[in-house]
Amino acid sequence: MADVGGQEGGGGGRHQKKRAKKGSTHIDMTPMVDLAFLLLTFFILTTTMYKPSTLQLTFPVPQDQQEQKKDLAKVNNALTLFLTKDDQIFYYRDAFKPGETQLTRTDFSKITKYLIEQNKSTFDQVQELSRRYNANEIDKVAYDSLKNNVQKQEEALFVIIKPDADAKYRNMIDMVDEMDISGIGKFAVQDTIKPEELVLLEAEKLKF
Amino acid sequence: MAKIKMPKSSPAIDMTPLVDLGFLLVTFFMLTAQFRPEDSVVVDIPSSRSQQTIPTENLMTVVVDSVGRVFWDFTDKKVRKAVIEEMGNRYKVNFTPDQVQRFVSLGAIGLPIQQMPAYLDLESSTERGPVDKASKGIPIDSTNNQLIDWIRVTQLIFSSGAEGRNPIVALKGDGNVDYSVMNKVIKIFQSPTVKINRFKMITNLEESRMAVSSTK
Repeated sequence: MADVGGQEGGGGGRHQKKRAKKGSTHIDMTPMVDLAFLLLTFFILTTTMYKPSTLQLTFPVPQDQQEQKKDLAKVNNALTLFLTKDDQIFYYRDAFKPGETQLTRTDFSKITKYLIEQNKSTFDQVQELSRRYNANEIDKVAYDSLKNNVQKQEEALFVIIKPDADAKYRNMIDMVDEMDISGIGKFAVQDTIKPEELVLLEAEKLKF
Repeated sequence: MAKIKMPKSSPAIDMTPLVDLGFLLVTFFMLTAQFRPEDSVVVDIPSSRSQQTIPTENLMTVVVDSVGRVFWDFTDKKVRKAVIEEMGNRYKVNFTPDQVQRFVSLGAIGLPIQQMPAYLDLESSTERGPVDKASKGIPIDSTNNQLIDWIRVTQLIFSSGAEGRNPIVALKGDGNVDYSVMNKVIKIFQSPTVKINRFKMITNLEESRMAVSSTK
């Protein structure tokens, strides 16, 4: 309407003030928000969590090992497991009796069930303890020590793990992990396979 | 007729706080993220159900890859520096400050100590790649057992430091490596000079197995 501008002709421009254009101080932030959240999403999605876990393993001190080697399989309720090629497992129970002891073949899909069966009473007690722990009836310290007691008791299964020359490292890890799953606290990893055991094992391996 | 004038409010919202928040989060995530040190070796670690996590400091890792090559790694830079200098002394190999610096910034390393200076002269990871591939790892034969020296030197330096105890030892093996190779390394751990009878084996968390065992 009343446009008082400078375009009005030539003459009247003398007292015209040069008024700075009052632009809005608001900038449209929307693209910036888009960008920020785009970056955020990108970094969150491309980040991979790298958090490997560990299995604690304690080996006997070498001096005691000589004594322990003699006795291990003679311990009550012993189970000797041989890990070998193609993820096969051979096992026998209790002490090795020449001529009598036979190896049984199994694999990793069936071993959990077998171990739990063999270790039934201890396994049930450990399950009961972890139920109580999860229900907050006992605290972590009590849980650990009770579990330790249960697993160290006389009738608990004692497992000797013997990976042979064809076994993979993964087999050994899986087996140590099985110990945890089936609540076995007494186990040892040994690399010495007795000659008489080896004869049996080699014979069994040839069958498959 | 009197019209009621509605105040004409602008539909634009002030986005500034939102921007602040967005960039704050971006900055936070970028600063707290830790970069993985470049790996000279790819290891496919086996998985387990264990939920014990691995410590991020004072940790010595012995890595064994799928063909049985052995690597050494340590988390703390100060210790790394002292270790490489002491190893140089023991094996009469001289390292320039630049080489020491590069060693400190690298991750797991698996070369005979004699080849180390040449390797540490290489600038980029693309140059180091072929050398890593061709390397035979740290020698662990009984005639030339350099691994035991790496472990011993690490223990000596670490225990002489502020902590005054032995470092945590972890064994990181490829799932497909023969157990006999791992056994050799474990035997070295147990040897009277280093006496490591407790160590951790690094594994991945196995989700599927956890689900199975909890339904039992």
